[in-house]
Amino acid sequence: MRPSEATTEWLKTALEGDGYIADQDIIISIYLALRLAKPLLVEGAPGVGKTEIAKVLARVFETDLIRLQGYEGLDENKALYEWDYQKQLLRIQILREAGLAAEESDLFSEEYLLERPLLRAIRAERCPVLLIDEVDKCDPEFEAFLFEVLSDFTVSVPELGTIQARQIPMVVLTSNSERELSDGLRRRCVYLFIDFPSIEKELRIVRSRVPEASEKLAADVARVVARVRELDLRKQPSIAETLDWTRALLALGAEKVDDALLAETATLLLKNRDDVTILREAAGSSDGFVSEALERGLGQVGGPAGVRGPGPTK
Amino acid sequence: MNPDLPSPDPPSSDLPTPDFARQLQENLIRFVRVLRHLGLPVNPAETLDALAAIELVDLGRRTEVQAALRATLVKAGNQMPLFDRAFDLFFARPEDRQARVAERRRARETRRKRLAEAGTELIFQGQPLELTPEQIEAYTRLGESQRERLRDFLAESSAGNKVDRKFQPLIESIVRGHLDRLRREMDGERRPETASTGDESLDTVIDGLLRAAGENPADRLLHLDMKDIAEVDLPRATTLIRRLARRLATRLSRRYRESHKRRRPDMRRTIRSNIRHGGVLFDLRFRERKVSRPRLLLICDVSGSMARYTAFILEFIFGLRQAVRGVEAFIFSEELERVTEFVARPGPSTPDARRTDAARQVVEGSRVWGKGTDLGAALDALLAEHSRRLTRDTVVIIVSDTKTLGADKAARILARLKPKVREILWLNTLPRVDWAEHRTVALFGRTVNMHECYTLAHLERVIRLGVGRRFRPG
Repeated sequence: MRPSEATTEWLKTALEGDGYIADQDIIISIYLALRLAKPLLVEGAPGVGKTEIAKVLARVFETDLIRLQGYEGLDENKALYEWDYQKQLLRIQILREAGLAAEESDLFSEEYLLERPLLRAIRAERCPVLLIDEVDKCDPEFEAFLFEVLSDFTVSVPELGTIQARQIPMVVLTSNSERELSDGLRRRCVYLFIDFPSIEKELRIVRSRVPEASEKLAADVARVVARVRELDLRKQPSIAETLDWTRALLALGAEKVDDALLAETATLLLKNRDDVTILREAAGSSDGFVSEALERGLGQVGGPAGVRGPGPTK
Repeated sequence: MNPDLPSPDPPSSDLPTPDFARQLQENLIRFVRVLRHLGLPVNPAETLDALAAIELVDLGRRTEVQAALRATLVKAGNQMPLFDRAFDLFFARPEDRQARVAERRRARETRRKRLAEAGTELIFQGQPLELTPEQIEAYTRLGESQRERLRDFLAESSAGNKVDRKFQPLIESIVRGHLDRLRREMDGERRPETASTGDESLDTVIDGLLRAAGENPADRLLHLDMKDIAEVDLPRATTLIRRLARRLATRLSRRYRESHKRRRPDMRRTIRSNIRHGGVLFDLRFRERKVSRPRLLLICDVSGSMARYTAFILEFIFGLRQAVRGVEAFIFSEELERVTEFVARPGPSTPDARRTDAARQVVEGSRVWGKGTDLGAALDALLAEHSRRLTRDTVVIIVSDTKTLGADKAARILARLKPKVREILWLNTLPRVDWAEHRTVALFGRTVNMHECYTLAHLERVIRLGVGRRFRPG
């Protein structure tokens, strides 16, 4: 299947076949990004499966995943290409010792070119998935450079000439909203905001990722986690933490969740001392934190009511 | 939910005809206009994307169309709820839409009638008072008892001894002043009006949304007067204050230092470190300009007139302190008081508890809270006792409504303070429309960089306008 030919139904089946449970918003956004050949900008709290989208796309289209991790100080040299300066120097030394002069064209050839992720994606044989992770951590000037590359997928290396992409890679950008991204970058992308999953969706994710867990345990986990997200925490537990917690419960041989067990294993869900204290207090009170959570229906969305804006993350 | 085509007037045929495509385009463009009026920044390129996108999805499925438009038109998570409501209202069933348009017309008609009625109620000796439509409107919005008091006042003064028509201007100015004040008070609770698009059906949608927006805490917050921001909303305020602080707190230096960005080679360091390679420049070193951190000095007005902004001011001090180290905080009313220690003192374990605790200490321990204002005396004290804290690296932020005793003296001292520091930034909690009425605004405005700032939206704007931007690298 070529990315530009994918349909929404096919995508849904393929993603779920690979264990990525996606709701309609996610499917439509991916589908539009593929069909319009535009980058997909994914925002959301940490651990809701932003990066996973790129990984799962690479798997379903059986292609390479090229990853560029954003960080402060990332620049063109590390993102696009660089000349292997040391190797060139050695070459000159060797030639000089042999009494020969170095030709410029010898020194600036493929042999001395260090390909970085962006150039690798442009020169790839098969249409790759290019993941630019945590693009909000990059400097604004790099962002400007990035959307220039992303809009025409052409790179000019002065010594080699212009390199045009064979095909437009599938680009996935993720952001934790640590910094406001520029409008220019947003404009060029199809946008997707992933919120924490509903209880039902989380249950399906747990069932798909931790098949050893019984239906009962998985349902308990999804309900309790949704309730935990409603507490006033510094960081809500992510899906990855839900999965870790489920595996931990399995390892402890638990078949259902209760207040004592939740308090004992709280450190797997929450990675912050204050948050753990808040959860233990809630679970320790006589109201029956877990039993209240378990009485809920499946349809409810986890976390406080309403869509949470992509706030800053610590 | 309407399962039909997302067009106000769906054509009878299911097949896309050229006519249908044109109508779809028109509708989309109208929808984009609605979004822009609501403040979502949608540009033409995105509109084109949205058009391309809806051609790719099943137009028969409303949720698919909604998701497609959302992915191409909305580019921030916090705009999603607004977009969804706009979509529901705009692509509603034709009957619903008609009903809403009719309802809006009726509301306008009622309002017009009430204005006309009110005009006849406000009379002095049988003569209607000369009032602006806004003043009359303010009158219609008053409670019955307040209206009655005003009417009684007019009736009594009409019948007064030796009162004749010459008194009308005097009475008029009293009524006007009264209504203006009431109007401002009431407007504090209302959202600002948006301009009309000139298209009735669009205005209906926008009106409906703004009304609904009043019920949604997330977008209400931005336009809420900061005195009304409740404790639950404070994290959002803190985020904004932090951004402001970061922007203020970084500044490009003229000096260079070693860097890992490969931009500007540092020949001296390169040669030095390559001596061990026999002088072959094997290992390159780079340098860049240093980003230095100016010091922030905060002076907050906590006098009686500013008392309602207490929560904001506290949040502002704590927010800045969290974002930047070494913030000096002062509060003043009749005199100046340094509160840096209060806000820096370690206390209970959780940050929130610590904050409330410190906030209580600041308010309770303060001599100056809620008194009159004397900016001149406060600045005088600052210059006299804290001059070592005033350097060319210091950015002074004053939060105040400019209402002070001895304004001329204060302005003179402000002018003396200015050359000692890098910049003076004034966040004015007085609405800009009232600035002309207060001489002090223009007086201080000559020396300082003054910004209207009584809602978070203003604070955001201050940040966007590039306060301190010239200090930023790049």
